[in-house]
Amino acid sequence: MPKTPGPPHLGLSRRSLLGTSGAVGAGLGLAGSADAQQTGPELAAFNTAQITLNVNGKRRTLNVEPRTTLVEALRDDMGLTGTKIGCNQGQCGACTVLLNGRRMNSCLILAITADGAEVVTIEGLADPAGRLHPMQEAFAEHDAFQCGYCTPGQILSAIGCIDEGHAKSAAEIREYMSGNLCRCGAYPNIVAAIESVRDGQEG
Amino acid sequence: MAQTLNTAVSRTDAPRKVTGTATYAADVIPAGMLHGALATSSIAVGTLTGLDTSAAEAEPGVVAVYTHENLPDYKSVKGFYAGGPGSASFWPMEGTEIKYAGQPIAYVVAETAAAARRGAQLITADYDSRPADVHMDPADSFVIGATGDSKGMVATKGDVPKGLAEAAQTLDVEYTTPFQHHNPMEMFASTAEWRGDRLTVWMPSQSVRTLRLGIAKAFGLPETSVRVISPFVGGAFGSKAGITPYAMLTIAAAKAVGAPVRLIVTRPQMYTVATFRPESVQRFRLGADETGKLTAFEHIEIAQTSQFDVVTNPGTHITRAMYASPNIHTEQRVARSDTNTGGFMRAPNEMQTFFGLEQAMDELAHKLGIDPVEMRRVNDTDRHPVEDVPFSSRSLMECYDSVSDTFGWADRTAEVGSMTDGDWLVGYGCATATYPTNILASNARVRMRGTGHAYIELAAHDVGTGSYTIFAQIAAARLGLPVEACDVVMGHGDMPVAPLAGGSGTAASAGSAVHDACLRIGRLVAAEVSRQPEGPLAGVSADRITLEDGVLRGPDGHSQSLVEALASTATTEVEAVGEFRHPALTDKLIRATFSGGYGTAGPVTPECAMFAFGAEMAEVHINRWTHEIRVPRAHGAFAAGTILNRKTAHSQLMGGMVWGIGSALHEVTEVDKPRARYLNANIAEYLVPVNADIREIRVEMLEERDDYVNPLGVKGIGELGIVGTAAAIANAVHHATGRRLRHLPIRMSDLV
Repeated sequence: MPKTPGPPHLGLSRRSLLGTSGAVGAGLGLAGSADAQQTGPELAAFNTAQITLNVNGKRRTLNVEPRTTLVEALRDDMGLTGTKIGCNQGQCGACTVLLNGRRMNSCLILAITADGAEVVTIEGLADPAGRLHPMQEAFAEHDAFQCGYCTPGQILSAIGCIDEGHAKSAAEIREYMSGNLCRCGAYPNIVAAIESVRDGQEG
Repeated sequence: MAQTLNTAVSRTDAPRKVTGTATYAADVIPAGMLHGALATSSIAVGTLTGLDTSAAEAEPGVVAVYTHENLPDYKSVKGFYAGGPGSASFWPMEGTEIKYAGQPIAYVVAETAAAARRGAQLITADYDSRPADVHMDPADSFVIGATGDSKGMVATKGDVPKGLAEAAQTLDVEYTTPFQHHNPMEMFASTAEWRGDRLTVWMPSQSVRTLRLGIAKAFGLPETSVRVISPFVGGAFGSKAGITPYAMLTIAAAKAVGAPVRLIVTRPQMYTVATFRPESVQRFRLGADETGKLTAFEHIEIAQTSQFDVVTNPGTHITRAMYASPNIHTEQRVARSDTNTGGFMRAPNEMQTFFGLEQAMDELAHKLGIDPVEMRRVNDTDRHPVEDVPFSSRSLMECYDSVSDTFGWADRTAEVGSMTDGDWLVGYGCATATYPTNILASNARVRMRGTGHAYIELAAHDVGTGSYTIFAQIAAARLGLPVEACDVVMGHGDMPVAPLAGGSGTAASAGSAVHDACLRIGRLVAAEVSRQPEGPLAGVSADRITLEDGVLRGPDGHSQSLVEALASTATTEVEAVGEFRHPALTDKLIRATFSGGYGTAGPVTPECAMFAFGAEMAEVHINRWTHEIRVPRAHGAFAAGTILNRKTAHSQLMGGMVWGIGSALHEVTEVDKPRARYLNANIAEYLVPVNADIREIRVEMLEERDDYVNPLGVKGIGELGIVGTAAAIANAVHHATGRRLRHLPIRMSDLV
């Protein structure tokens, strides 16, 4: 059993967060709201930097700690939780986004180094009318996932794979999609989905 | 009405999963949420003598650091194998005792995830360390539980030494399988929010009821004050069933700090704060006559367990059900070592035991000069070899015949090393797959409206298995609605009871409860319309009205669609709670499931043995010079009763076979044995199959009818695909090279 509860080791010298429990949330609560709002928490005692990103076509300005990764900025500061964290160390590809058009592991990128960049996440793929991107449709049709957790990263990686010209054959797709792990083992269906989109684009 | 069962239906949750709007536990961000991080022990066994948290506390952004000294008290719960809701019976941070490496010793709460992580890194600990050990010495192993009865861990029939003496050929071999970790793509996460004495916990779960019950007990709350929410689970495979320390600590930390706290466990920490597949030794002694018929069958399994729980995944219960033999002896043993408690990982009784059994059958067939498929055929049986009850259905040889056709088994030349393709040695191997059919009590609520919509609610889970879709299909078929008009809501602890998503039992058990709820709706609506003054069924005795595919039918040819009938009633809405209570379910078993446990009546009841079967074949290519091992194709044919959804079922079986390839060639948690620490606790060095590892996977699902298992005739397919794959690959490696590899994984270095 733990001993009798004592007071936590509070960092009272810093911002008195406990008394103002809405403070962080006030920032987070803006997630998904209008363009160009300041969406980062006010972190007075931290060294923070203001950055501007173009995320899914919208300009977003936020304050981030230098150690905040892009995926954490997307998820925790902007509320774009479609991008998933699968390992936080660049091993699994679940956090793949398109950064200036290239597929990248967003857990390996510090948010401040992405200042000024264009970022496309899974939330930005459907057109303004809500019509799904062909890759999203193909993944659904081919059952290219089971649990769905790696799926946003797989879909962005798949779009990148075709754009790079690395989808010429099933073998090439398998090789160039090997940075995106799928523990459910949907690989053959992922390859089929990508081939169908590639063929659709060619046609 | 188009047929909705046994067809290929796209997942109903696919639109959410491809748009990033499916909410997994860590996607919920309550207002004011803080971030947690764990510091864990660097030693495996000893006593914590000092813990310096000052640097962590001084770190900007860190709000609080909790240790065993200041964490709010909660009551421990027992581990799963001791009949409790926990992942293990030992709870960290209750004192200074260290029982496994990577044991949580401190919990940091901070304003950002980065600050929490940094805070955890800054904590230093001093220990009084004692020797630790991870070993599998048969001399230190012991038999679990009682002997003699059918649930017992030792079974004996006839006289194995006599059977061995009578045999034309015998085999006495040992196989070993390693520690493996589930590694779901979704990291373990838990978010806890207290509002007064009401608690909400978001965490990925295979059993929301188990969690709710255990958390309520631990924190002294009525169950109704605890909400456990888990609508989407990013893969589980057995790792997200019981309450884990990371969840309990997060709840306690949130209580102490007075704000919601979210913890995302790091990938390396995922290896020690939850369960895993224990390592094992599989010993087989087999004897057979000249025709291949077994004269003796002995299997002794020794599986690893912790110092504080007895992990019981009785694989010998499954192997002894496979083949006829007059003389049988099986024994289930465990050996303790200094790790956290293991648990169930996809096919927990079957993966490792069938790596042994199915290679042993291949070895014996080779000694006798018999085709491996024929070896299985001569030993096929329609009665359970030990329990002497019939199988409710058993299509093992139909599976072999089907897969032999698609794979081209007839092209195999028997001689070792006789097949080549340029610089590649080619091998063909086969193995049996099976999975026991579990029968568990379940409820489900269905509400139907006269507008033609239905809502299905139950505390079941879709861990990627397709449950959302198949429950909608079942309701659609029974109620006569389109699948998309049936809305399924799951993953909340306060919904009608459904069993833990494990043992491949959800479709069979919870699905049968959905089916029953729909039939009850039919009866309720029939009673209403029979009382009406006019209408096609007015005045017909309600008990003579039946519901068939969404149509109410009276005895004299009068009928009315259920939707129309419902629309004509005053309420235009009807609700029913369905129940699945198989006759083999005892009160004790029902009570176990309803109190968060796993009360299965399978796979052997007094009347029947219930198993799904399959046959798998693998082609292996081994480079003559580099010894690189490739699996260009793997085929499986499976018979598992009714297939509800041919698309999601195909994915399940295919994914299982991918797991089997992983077990065969990639997966192992390496252990620094003298220090009892894992060496490759990350998802780059713990290899799982990547896209380039997987080439052709072919899955055939055979028609099979089974009226005994449940009203839907469903046996369950979530784990079947993995069983046998590793043995089929090992047998193919032998066929290609003549090398018998009796351990997993099989690597290039084994072939040098």
